[in-house]
Amino acid sequence: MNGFQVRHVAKDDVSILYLSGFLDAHTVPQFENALEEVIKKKRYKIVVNFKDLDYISSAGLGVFMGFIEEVRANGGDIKLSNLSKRVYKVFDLLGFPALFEIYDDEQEACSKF
Amino acid sequence: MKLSYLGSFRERHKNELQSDELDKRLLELSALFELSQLLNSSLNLKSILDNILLIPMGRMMLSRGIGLLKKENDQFKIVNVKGVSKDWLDKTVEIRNFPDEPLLVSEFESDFKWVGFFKELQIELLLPLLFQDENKGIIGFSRKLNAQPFTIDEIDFLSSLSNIAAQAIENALMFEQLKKLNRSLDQKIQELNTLFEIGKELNQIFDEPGILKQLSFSLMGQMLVNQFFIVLRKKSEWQLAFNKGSLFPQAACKKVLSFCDQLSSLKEPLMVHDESDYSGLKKLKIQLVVPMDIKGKVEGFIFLGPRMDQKPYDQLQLEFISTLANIAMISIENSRLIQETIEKERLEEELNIARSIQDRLLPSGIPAVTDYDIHGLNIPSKQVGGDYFDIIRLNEEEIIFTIADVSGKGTPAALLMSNLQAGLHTLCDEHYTLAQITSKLNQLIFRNTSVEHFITFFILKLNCPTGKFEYVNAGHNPPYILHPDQSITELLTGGLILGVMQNVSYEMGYGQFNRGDLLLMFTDGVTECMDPDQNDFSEQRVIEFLKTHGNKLSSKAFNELLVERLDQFAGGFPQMDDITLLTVKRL
Repeated sequence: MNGFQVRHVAKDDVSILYLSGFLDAHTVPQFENALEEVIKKKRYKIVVNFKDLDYISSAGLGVFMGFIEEVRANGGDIKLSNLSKRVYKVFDLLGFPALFEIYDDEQEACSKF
Repeated sequence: MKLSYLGSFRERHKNELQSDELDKRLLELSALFELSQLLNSSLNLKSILDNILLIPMGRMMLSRGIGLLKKENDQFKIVNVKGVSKDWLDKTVEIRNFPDEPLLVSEFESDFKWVGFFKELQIELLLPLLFQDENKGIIGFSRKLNAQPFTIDEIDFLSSLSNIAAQAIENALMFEQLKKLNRSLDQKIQELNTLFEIGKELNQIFDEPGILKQLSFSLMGQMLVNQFFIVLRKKSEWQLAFNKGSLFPQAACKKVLSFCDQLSSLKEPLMVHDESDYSGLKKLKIQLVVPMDIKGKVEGFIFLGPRMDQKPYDQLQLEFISTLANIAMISIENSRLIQETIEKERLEEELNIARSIQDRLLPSGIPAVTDYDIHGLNIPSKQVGGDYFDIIRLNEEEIIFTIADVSGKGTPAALLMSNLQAGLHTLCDEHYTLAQITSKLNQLIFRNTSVEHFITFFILKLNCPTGKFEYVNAGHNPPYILHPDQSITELLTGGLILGVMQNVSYEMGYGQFNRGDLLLMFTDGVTECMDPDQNDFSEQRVIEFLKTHGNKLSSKAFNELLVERLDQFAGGFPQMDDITLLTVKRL
């Protein structure tokens, strides 16, 4: 099983999280911690880049749900970019495109803040 | 390819193709062919519906077109309009007894209501969309702009067109249905994956917060909800275990706890409606209550607020969330059992430690003293009661006997006992009186423990050759001396138990131990030994036993018989305290 990794890069006031590998119930706490770190620093403009993410499960999507209220309440947002077809399908099936902004590339996502 | 086919057809039939009529006919055929290809290559319902209206309208200069698809019970839904107000879209019309062939509204004699409807829309020509002899829908067109009537050929053409279209529409509808089915199948698979994954993951998590966290992620991801909280029954009380979202701060969740007893008869998720018995929940913004079931008993609930997309909870999702809740409940229960086992093992381990400490503190052998028969024994209870006895030889003539009972049980008691023993041995080496030793021990114990810990303590120094003795009793069960004439002396003199006050002075008692006398020191495990009816063995029975057997038996035989008697008395009832006996006889 591939591992999961998350990397944080700050671009001006936007925080970009790069995910790679498998984001499932097992690796979810890792992603949760990473998001928590960013939010603790009061950085509420967040773009999650899925370029290297191979798999996401419902639990992985749950993390977004868990933070979005707080982030938006603070005038920020979590925008998603570079989803592979496979990953997008999961988002789509569960109805996420109605709630989250999803962009083809990171640049575009950043420019929407 | 179409054109080249048409071109070569013309070439080959040059001579026959003389009249315009034929040429026009050929054009129509090619149009049908083109349309047929177009329609059948498309599974997009919208584009098919557009084409079957727009192609005829363009070719025949018709200003209005309408398309209807049949729903159930003769209801036809307007799915496309051209040149007619868009307000009509999605409206349904009841159309009974529509003929299986094209009809001209102006010539159709009947009083069907729908005829009037088409007249109002200025639709003149209606064509059924027949697929396998079944009416799938209707297309209709207005009169031609040039006011010419529809020719037979034109109607034939449109008829052929609608047949082709019917096939294409059927395909597109099937395709849409298939797409829907596929999507719901994919969603089911996603649900199953989630259940499978969380099941696997929960097998590796043994702490309740970890389990609830996993549950919450799966719930949030799968159900698009981030407003919910979880209540669990703990020690027969409902307690808030997890809450998420701004609608449900702790205070709000706690208001719901009073509903839980009432809700625990739920067998399946409950959608909270205004008119339900639980309208109080609705006021608290709760939309769904999911019982968490284990072995047929509800041990917890998930209370959910609105979904983030504001859609209502779907009946199909309830099955998923119910399964999720039950899987999590099983894991929580398992984690509790595991915690209990760990706790039990830890306790067992602690008791083993306490037992081995106690073992090492008790004297390893009984010193042989001329003219004296000495025997001591300790039977630790399951919990290790903190009894202690010791025999310390001071010099050729003097010997110290001591017995003590440390309050509390287990390791703390054993450690305190160890303190007492170390202090005692150090003090005995100095030339202190028993009163001084006891007083110093009191200070030591007082400093090293909290007030609720104390020790009952008895110490006696015997001059073996003379039989003279002195003693201090610090709150311990008074030892008895049985004289040969069956009279009994209680050794009471002393003072307060050790460890409750810092400075205490003790009084010493004195006496003479003669031939035939028996001194019995014991702990409250003896007097408080309990029978199944919860009666104490009591001092009275100790004295009776002492009088009956004291003169006849050796110290060892006496102690062992007393233990046997206590066992009999207890009748297999488990004893909570250690039993300690120290017996000295002067021969």
